[in-house]
Order: sequence, then C-alpha cells, then structure tokens
Amino acid sequence: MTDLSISFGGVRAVQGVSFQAAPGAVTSIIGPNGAGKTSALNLLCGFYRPQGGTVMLGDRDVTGMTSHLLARVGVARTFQTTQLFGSLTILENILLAERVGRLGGVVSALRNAETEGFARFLLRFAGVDGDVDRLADSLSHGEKRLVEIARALALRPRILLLDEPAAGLSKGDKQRLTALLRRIADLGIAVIIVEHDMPMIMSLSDLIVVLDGGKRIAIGDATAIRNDPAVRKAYLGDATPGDKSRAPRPARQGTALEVKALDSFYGLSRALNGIDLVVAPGEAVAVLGANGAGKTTLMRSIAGLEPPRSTGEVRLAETRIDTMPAHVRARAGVVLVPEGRQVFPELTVKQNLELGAYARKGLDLDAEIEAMFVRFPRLKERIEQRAGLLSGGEQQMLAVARGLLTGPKIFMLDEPSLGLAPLVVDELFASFERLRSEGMTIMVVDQMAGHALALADRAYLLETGAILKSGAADIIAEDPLLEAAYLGGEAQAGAAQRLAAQAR
Amino acid sequence: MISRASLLIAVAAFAIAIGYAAVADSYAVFLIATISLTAIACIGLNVLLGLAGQISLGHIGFMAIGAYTTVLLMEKAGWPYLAATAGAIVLVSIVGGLLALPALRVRGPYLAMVTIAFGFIVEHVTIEWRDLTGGGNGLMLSAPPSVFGYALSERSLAIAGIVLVFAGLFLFERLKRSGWGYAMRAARDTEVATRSLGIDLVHVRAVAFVISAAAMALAGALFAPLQGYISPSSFPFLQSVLLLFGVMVGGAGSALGPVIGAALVVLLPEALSDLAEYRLLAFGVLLFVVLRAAPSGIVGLVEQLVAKFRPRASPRPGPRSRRRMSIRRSSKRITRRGST
Repeated sequence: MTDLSISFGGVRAVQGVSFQAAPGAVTSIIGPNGAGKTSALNLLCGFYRPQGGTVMLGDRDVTGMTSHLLARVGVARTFQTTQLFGSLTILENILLAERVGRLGGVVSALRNAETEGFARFLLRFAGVDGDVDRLADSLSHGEKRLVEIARALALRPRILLLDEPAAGLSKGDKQRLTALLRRIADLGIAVIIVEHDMPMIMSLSDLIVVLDGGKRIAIGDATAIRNDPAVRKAYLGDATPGDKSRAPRPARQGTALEVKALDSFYGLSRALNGIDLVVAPGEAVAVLGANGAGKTTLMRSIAGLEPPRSTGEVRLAETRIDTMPAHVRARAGVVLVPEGRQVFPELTVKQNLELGAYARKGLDLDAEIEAMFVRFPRLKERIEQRAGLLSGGEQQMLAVARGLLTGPKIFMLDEPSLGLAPLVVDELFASFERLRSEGMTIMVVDQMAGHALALADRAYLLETGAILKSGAADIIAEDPLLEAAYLGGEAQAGAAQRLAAQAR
Repeated sequence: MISRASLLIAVAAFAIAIGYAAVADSYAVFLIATISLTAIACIGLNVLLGLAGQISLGHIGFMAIGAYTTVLLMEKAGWPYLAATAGAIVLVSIVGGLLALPALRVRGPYLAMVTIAFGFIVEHVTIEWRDLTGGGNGLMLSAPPSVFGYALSERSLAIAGIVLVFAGLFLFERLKRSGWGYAMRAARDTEVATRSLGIDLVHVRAVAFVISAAAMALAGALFAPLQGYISPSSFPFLQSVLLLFGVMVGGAGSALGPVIGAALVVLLPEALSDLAEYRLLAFGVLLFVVLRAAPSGIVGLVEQLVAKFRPRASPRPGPRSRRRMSIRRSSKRITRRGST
C-alpha cells in the first residue's frame, strides 16, 4: 500500500499512507479515534476507491477493485460489528464463503461431503465448538467473532483484514483470539488488524502502523512504538493539567448526579459492569479509558439512549431517572452532546438552536440564542447557513450551544475534540473552561486525555467496562495506569490488574 | 436433502390432487387450474420475496406479458402452444433481467415504486397498442391449444398445472439449497458481508428477478388458454398485491407457503362472493389478522404448533425451525417495508 489517500467532503481521511504487510506477519493499524484507521481498511478491501496511491497484492495492482473481486483474488475481511448471515447456520455461513463467489448451478446443492469436511475443519481450527447446525443468530458475541474469522478463512485468502476483532470480547476470549491470529499468520497469511486493545496489539504485532489525522505518524515494532514521542502525544494529547490558573470554584456540596451499580449490555455482550460514580454540582469530571472501555456507553446509559440496555440506579440530584425515557431525562436536565456532533444538517444554525430549546417553556429564546452567539461568535456569522455546511469545529460548537439551550443540570460531552484540528480543540476546551467557571456541572469523555484532564476536577479511569481508578484529575494524570490503559504494555497491564484487585 | 417422509407425503398429495382433478366437476376443475397457476406465480414471487428479500408490486406485468406473448405467437405467428409458452418464458426472462438493472439500484419503498411503475407501463401498453394487443377489447384464443395433437381441455390444463406446481416446489427447494439460494438469503441478512465473500450482489439479485419473472410468464401461459380470452383488465394492479398477499399469508421463504397462499387467494373470493364489494374489506382484515397472529405465515404457524406439541421431536434447532426463523425474518422485513 503506497501513498494511499482519500477524502470525504473536504475531510482528508487518509493522506499518503504507505506500509507493507508481509505474509506470515501480523500488521496492526492503530491510532486515536478519527485517525483514519477504518477508512484505510475500507480502502484496502475495496469498499472505497482511493483518490491516490496504489494497493499491490504481491505483484498485482489491485487498486480500486470492488470488494467482491478483491475477495476472489484473496483479500478476506471481518467486520467491526460481526456480519454473519443470521438466518443461516454456522456451517452454511462457511460453506457459502468456501465457494469464493462461484455459486454453481441454480439447482445444485451447496452442501456436499467434501466441502462440509473442510468447513468443519476450519471451525475446529478457529475454536468453534458444539453443534454446527445452530443458527448464526443464536451464537454468543465471542462465538460469532470466531465463526466470522473461520468464514473469512474459507476464502483461502492471502490477506486477512480484521476490523477491531477484540471489541466487546472478555479477557479469556481475547487471549484465545490472539493465539488464533498468530496461528493464522503462521499459515503464511498476511494478517492486518485495526484494533484499539493495546495489550493485544503490543503482544501480537510484528509491525505497527500508527495513524493520526489521516497521516502515518509512526511505523515499527511494539517497543519502538511504545517509546515514540509522537505516538504518546497523539494518544494522550499535549496539554498538561494544572498549568493554567484555575478560576475559583464554588464550594461543592451534595450530588448533581449519582450512578449506582450500573450494568449495560449491547445484545448479549456486557459493555458496563457495576459502575458507581458521583458528580457534585459545579464539578467537572473526566471519564477516561481506551476505545471500547465503555465511556460512550456510560454516557448513553445516563442519558437513557438505547442501545445499550442498562440496569442500575441513576439519580439526578434527588430524583431517580433511570426509569425515564431519554426525552424526559433531557427535559429534566441530563443533556448529552453526542459523539460525532449530530447537528441537524438540513436545518439552519438558528433552527438547530431553536430546537435545542424546544422543550423549555417560558423562555426568552432570542436572548438565550444571543447569549450563545456571545459564547461562540463564529456561529453568529453563520446564522442562516445550513448546519451541514459548517466545518467540523463549527458543528461541534453548534452542538454544544444547542445542548446548553436545552437547559442542562448536567452537561455531558462525548468526544468533543473528535476529528478537529488542534487550534479548534483549544478554542472548544477554552469555552468548556468558561462553562466550568460559571458553575456548570460537566462530564467529559475525550480521546485527548490531556485536554479532558486539564478541564476536569476529578477523573474516572475505565477499562473493559469497569472503573479501574478514580481521583483528582492531576493525580490521575500522573498515574502510570492511565498511560497503560491508552498505550498498553504487558507489565503495566499486569500492574493495573493487581491494583484493581487491591482496590476491590 | 429432502427427507423420505416428506417425499412420501409429497407423492401422496400429488396422487390425490391428480386423482381429484380427474374426477371433479367442471367448476372445481376450473378452480384447481386457477389455483395451480396462481401457485406457480406465487412460487416465483417467493424466490424474490422469500429468498432474496426483495419486494415487487408489479409482478402481474410479467404475467401479462407472458399471456399476451403466448396468445400472439399462437394466433398471429401460428406457433404451437408449447413453443409459444417457451417463447413467452424466454421473452419475459429477458424483460425481467432488463427491469432488474434499474430496479436493483434502489431498495425498500423505492424498489416497490419502480415495480409498480413497471406494472402500470405494461398495463398501458396493452391498452394503447391496439394493433397488436386489441386494446381494451383484448385477445381471443380462436381454438383450445393442443399439445402433440391432443386438444387441451380445462381438465388437462388443471392436471398440467398440478404437475407444474409440484415441479415448481421441487425446483424451489433445490434452488433454496443451492449456492445461489444461500447467496440470496445471505444478501438479505447482510449485504457487505456477502460482497466480502466474493459474491456479486447484482448477479444474485438479477437471477432472483429473472427466475421469478419466468415463473410469472409460465402462469400467464396457463392463464390464457384457461380463460380463452385475455384483456388488460385480466391483469389489474390489485392482482400483484394479491399475489404478494398469497406469499406472505402462506409463509414467505417456505416452499409450501405460496401454494397455501395461492389457494386462499383463489378460494376466499369464491367463498366470500356473497359479500360482493365488501370482499376486499374482508381480505384486508384477514391480512391484518394473519400478520398479527402468524407473522411467519400459515406454514410458520403450523410449524410452531407442531413444535409445541412435539417439543422432544427436535431438541435442537433442526432444519424445520431454521426455516421458520428465516420466514419470520423475511416477513418482518416485509411488514416494515409495507408500512413505509
């Protein structure tokens, strides 16, 4: 893959990325959210056509081939959310793949003894036990992953692309997966992984490619990557906490938000496990953790959005809100500015803002909107523009302003810096800092841990759906666990587990 | 793959149907022939709806083209009936393939619109192209068709229809278990994954379209000699809806469902003939009730009941319940589409 590039509507998702994946080796593509990993993967497997650069499979130029043709020449893939054929059985899933697109006669049976034997062998190889005539829909999340890998192998591929294969897996499942991927590579297949699970990446990869903002910022083996300053900066951000003079804070008493024993599930897979969390009025709290740790799930659970399905207790001040539907919680003052901004693209900036205040009665709307323009002067210049035409940073400001107009008692920000340029991020976080000093209760999740910690009074560190550690922001910032959670590392991860065990 | 027991039942049902058609009175014979050709149409539609998960509201257009082509080839070109039927099937398959090209670029409600438009175009061509189609007056078959010198009576059409229905059922089961059948069902579950296995979605769906169109042509070729007369009003838009209704009520995705649905579609209007213009109302209510009580169709309902009374018969999800699942899925999709 040489100089591969693609952009979507002005966002240059992948810019001139090059690397080589060797047969028999595991190559990992990592990077913070919005770094262009999935775009790179989609370029490789033919879902997008690159606007520049070439993809070579051996000596053959396969640039811009459509996905089904690529599959026929030996590029197999799995998906971030497993995509099995749910109404077919496990075995039928594999058998269909085994045909590699050659479907045979319209009345000749798909199943025959020889290919069935091959399919059973693949399933055993991937570690799928039990009845192969079960419907794929009836499997657990972990089993689905393995069947999907077996199905990809049935294409007898030269390249196997895996999009976040460890997402949502338990520790034991992850270990089995790691061993399986190593065995697959040993067969001489080039394995390429996009993944967030750092301990797994670090232990498994022969070569790691780090992307940030669509560019390749580092390439090398695990040790080199872990010590690369550019990588640390990309993952942790460079704003250091405590370096700015803090506005004096009002005394914090009572609780604005309290979460007790919160469990959340996506289908059968558990995303959150016994979360306890308290936010005092006027406090800013950061929720940190690697991707897939459950940060977004936590915010969605508090806001009452589905999925996930959650159990446990959520209180806003003294009111129990966990039985309320999402829109009632929003009216009560639980306001979430969702990841990816979610402005209404067809409506103007003004209409977006008016909708934010939709549920509030007896409000001087014009004055409130005017106040937002003081906060975000850039929005005022765009007042009659359609929100979809704004830049990413402006859309984020609009989403924040819209959220504020809903009248939050607790204001939750999910990945506000996602995909934004550093200067814009600074501007945004400055506005959050202003909000905090005005006494707004804030909960923020951000990939840029440094930024989030600079804003926050306290922080919670999440790992695989459970709280690993909590404490004052500047103490968490110094904690080696934080770095371990983001960048992985065997020894550190081990220490994390021990610490977590002690904490319980 | 077809078990011995079900083969035995099929042979017995076949013998009974043929035997009854041989001795029944002329009204019953006419009904049997009508049910047979409706069943053939429904089996074809089931390939599109039950396997590929695509909806078409203009399928009656294929039947119209099939019937008109058969009659025209016999009357104007002097072809024998069998050759005319084959010609109709070939022509309609080509038309089906051509329609598949634009139709498969769109999905859900838009696909429904494209197919409705196709149905209307066919209807208006049959009305307006008077020189060829006789316009609103339609076309008359001057003599009953003959095969190898034997003139086909209504009774022999009914028997031929029964044979074709059973052949259709057999072919449907084989198609369902072929690579193409699995690819159609896979594409219905998840398109991206199907493509990632090297399967060309456009091919798969076009094949589903062509097969279902060909079955409609065959139904049309049986329809013309049975009625002795065809006109644009023989193929109203409503009939497309009724065919869909037959497939869904019977059980989309199952082999037998469309046959049961076809019998309902033909027999209910006869049974409800006292209600006159309220027949459609009764139909609508029935569709509502069936989709509410048995979202997987009548076949699915029966299988659920069987599974309930014989819980130990299949302790693990065997082929029986597997089929039920797939039917439920597809019919759920259809109801969702229908409601948009």
